[in-house]
Amino acid sequence: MADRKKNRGSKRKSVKVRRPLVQPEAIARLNLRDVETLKQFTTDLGKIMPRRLTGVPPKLQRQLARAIKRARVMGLVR
Amino acid sequence: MKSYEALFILAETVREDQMDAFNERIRTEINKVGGTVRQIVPMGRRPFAIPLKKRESGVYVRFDFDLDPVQMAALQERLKMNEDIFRVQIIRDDQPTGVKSPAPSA
Repeated sequence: MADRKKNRGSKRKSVKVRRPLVQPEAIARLNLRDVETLKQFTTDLGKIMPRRLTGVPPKLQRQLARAIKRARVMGLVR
Repeated sequence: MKSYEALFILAETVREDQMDAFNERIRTEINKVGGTVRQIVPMGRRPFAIPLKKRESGVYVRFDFDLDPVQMAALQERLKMNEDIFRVQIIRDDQPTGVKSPAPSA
């Protein structure tokens, strides 16, 4: 009974697709040429994955987004 | 002086055996605006992830160079004129390869 009460209203799907963090040394040198690293953070259709799914710190997420957009211009990722 | 890296995609008109001549021309362009090329890294022909201007692949070459930032606009203007370049992207290179940050004096 108590359990049922607790769960009421928590209908939101929990999304727990946390991706592995890139290595610390890769963070400092993140570049549009690191195609394999960047691909880990895009969906199959080439969308940039939200931080909710990637689980990376804000600073790195911004760097990732920037690098992915640059790589797109040069035809390296979708 | 700041460190940059430029990634070029060659135009279809440049044959792959003319790469050296192309590299020299770009080196001259960078030198003309007062920059120095540290290294040239040919990356070969790679398929594009998506077609760019109906092309499916391109020859990539990377230039690492130092340049006074005020000259950057001039360099980009010059590169725009160059018809051997299909696409170019120049970004700041905060930790250039081969350049170690000075060790703290003990």
